[in-house]
Amino acid sequence: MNDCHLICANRLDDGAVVWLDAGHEWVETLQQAGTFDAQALVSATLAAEAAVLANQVVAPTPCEAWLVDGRPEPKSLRERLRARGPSVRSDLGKQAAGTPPSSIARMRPVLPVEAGQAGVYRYDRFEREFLKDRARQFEQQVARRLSGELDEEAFKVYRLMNGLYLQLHGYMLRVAIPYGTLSALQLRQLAYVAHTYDKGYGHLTTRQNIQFNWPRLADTPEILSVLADADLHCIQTSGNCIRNVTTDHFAGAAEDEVLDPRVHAEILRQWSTEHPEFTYLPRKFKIAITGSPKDRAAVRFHDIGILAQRNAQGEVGFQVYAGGGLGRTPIVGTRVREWLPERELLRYVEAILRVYNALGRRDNLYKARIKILVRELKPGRFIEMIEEEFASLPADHQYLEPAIVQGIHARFVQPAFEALPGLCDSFLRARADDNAFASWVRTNTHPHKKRGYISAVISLKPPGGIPGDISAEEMLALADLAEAYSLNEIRVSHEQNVVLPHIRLVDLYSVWQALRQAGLATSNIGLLSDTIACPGMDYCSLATARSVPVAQRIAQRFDAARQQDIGELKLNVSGCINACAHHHVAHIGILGLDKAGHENYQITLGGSAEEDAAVGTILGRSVPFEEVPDIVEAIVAIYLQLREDDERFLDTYRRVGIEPFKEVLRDAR
Amino acid sequence: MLVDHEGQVQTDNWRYPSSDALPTFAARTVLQPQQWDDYHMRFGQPAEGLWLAADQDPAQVRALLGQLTLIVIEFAKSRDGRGFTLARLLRERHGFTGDLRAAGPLLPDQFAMLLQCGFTSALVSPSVPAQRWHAAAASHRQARPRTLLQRLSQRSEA
Repeated sequence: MNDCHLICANRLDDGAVVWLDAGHEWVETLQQAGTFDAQALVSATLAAEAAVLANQVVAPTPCEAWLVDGRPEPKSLRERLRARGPSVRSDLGKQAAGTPPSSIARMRPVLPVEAGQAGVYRYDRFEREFLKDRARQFEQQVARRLSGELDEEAFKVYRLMNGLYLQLHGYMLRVAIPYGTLSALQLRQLAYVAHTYDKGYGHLTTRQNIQFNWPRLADTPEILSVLADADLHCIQTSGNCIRNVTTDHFAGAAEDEVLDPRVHAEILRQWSTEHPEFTYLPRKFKIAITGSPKDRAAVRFHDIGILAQRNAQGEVGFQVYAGGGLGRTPIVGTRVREWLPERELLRYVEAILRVYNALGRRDNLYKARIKILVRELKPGRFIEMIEEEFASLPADHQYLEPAIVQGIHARFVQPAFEALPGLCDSFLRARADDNAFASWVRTNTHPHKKRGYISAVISLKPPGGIPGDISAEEMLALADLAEAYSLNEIRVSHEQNVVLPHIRLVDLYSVWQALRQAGLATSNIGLLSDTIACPGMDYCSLATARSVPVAQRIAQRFDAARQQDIGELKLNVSGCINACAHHHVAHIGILGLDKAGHENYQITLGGSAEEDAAVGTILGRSVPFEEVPDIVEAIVAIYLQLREDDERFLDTYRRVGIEPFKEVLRDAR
Repeated sequence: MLVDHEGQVQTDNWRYPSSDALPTFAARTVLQPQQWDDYHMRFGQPAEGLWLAADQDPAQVRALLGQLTLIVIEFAKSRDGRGFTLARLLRERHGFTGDLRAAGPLLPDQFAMLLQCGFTSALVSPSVPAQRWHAAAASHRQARPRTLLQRLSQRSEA
């Protein structure tokens, strides 16, 4: 095996992975790549830099390789994955050359529909025109990039303002699903985008976004325009701005809800869109809001977390947390306000953002989030500064008057609920007769605020599947079901599942049968295989290890019956310290790390993202990829030995502490 | 290159002496805060312009504001947004009514936000075609309130 160097880059116009060949041309397969010794690398690097200036490629990177039987083999797993494609999808990337992904007829939906007819929040024509303008603006920016007027550094600002990233295999476009709410028509439009401009699927993220992994740069302005036709957009899905505001995935449906948080989430979205003062913050800024005492939106782990409440007089107000977050410094948010009157919401959020924008660190990317500012100032001083800023705001400015809240509320389509009896004989009979249905009802449904209705969670974690991935066909099937059975509404959850929020009990069995037909009736919500997993190194250029294959291999060890027996157990797998899969707040969290070129995984126990928010505790040394499923099985076995009555994993852990579990690392190897 | 609030290129009659050199006396001089007192004492009258870094605490220069016809706020990078907050504080909290000028590697696509935060001119790189600033200002002037929230808020504040 001889050492050599390769130069790998992404082609500018379509993002395809390319290598420099011996004659300094760009080629599409690793086999054709030039292999350079230290001396030849010098002129090859110059050629690559010239190609950057000529706007042919982006970010050329030299990488070390071995020559194995005369063929180059990159030393790093990341570069091997780039040369091959995702390890979890052998039909995609270079490995799939010559086999285009299957495709159903590409019917362009009958769109654009009139503004106001597309989403659950009804846009007016000015709001629609704003989205179309943004798409046109981006079209010009892309044209300026392709012509060379803008270099990558200048263009990056614009592409990030439109949710366009450059990842391992090419460009990735992230579409916002504000407060996780979609109409059937919007889901069909996403299916159309997946079919027409991507490879037939999308990936639901942990912040109520959907991302497409294979768009061409040249197509993205058209994609934005097609999305805008359905009042969808990619604004605030990247960059150091206020990101897509997230909420409870049962919002507007949950029995325990005191207030539908989507109205205030929409107000915050409108307020923060292209905010003149807060679009160039020290770092990204995430806001979550929930209207239920049961926190399903992880508000304590957001830059600002808002819990809507009502006081004894029935007035709306908010409990406000700030400075929470995950990533390399996981911190539970500080409660900065016990009660904030509704009228003050935007003023108070503005005060927090202003303190952060003025004082947040800009010298170190890893210390730039608001949580570090809160920690450095100390929470008491931080609260004082917010309150000082809040008290000094102009007196005539940005009060959230009742008429404004009503105006926004009125734009939401009100679902036409029927007056129904609370119980339904056909439902009870089906549940009694069909065990599979009963089991699905137990794990995958949630009580509804309207009598005779129920919400159902559609698991996107089937055995062997990729958490959060949803094919265009599945999108279309769910859009049909939403239209027929869920008053046209759909939610997506930060756990990477889909919700049909408003199903009549009398229809539930039919819905389940249709889901089963479509392969979408996995009964595992809240169970071990309902794993949150980020794309990991199979797709993401930041990742230090793969996450999806780890989640898949763990899930394989536990069949459905065993998972039911174990009960609620949240297991999340992140592919790097940025913690997109929220591993810190999982009951069992798994973090992929690079240890001398090998994938290693650190395990944390006892995290929770809910009212009892807690950051998990590290169990001990990290373990190699192959050993993770054994270790998880051993942890679960200890829990099953120790659990009392119906105790959940988390409760057993809290009772006995981490010590009994440390055994699993002593026994290994 | 100086552009005004309409994105038109203007002749710049101001001088911006470097902070190392001892400034001579002249009309339309822009000084940094640390040069201020010395200049005032030596020439018996204050400079008319003040150059601020974006991390300046506006309360510390409050006493000078009444004497100024121009404040320049320097953006270290196009993505460093502290200058937007500083501008709003100078306008809204400290009542500065003179010319507020942004300086630094700013982009025409940021012009609308600069104007909304109270800037009235900008010192920009000549490498960007001048008509981009003009076009950005024009489209900002024509822009309607883009969200329902803005329209409802304007109604309730009117």
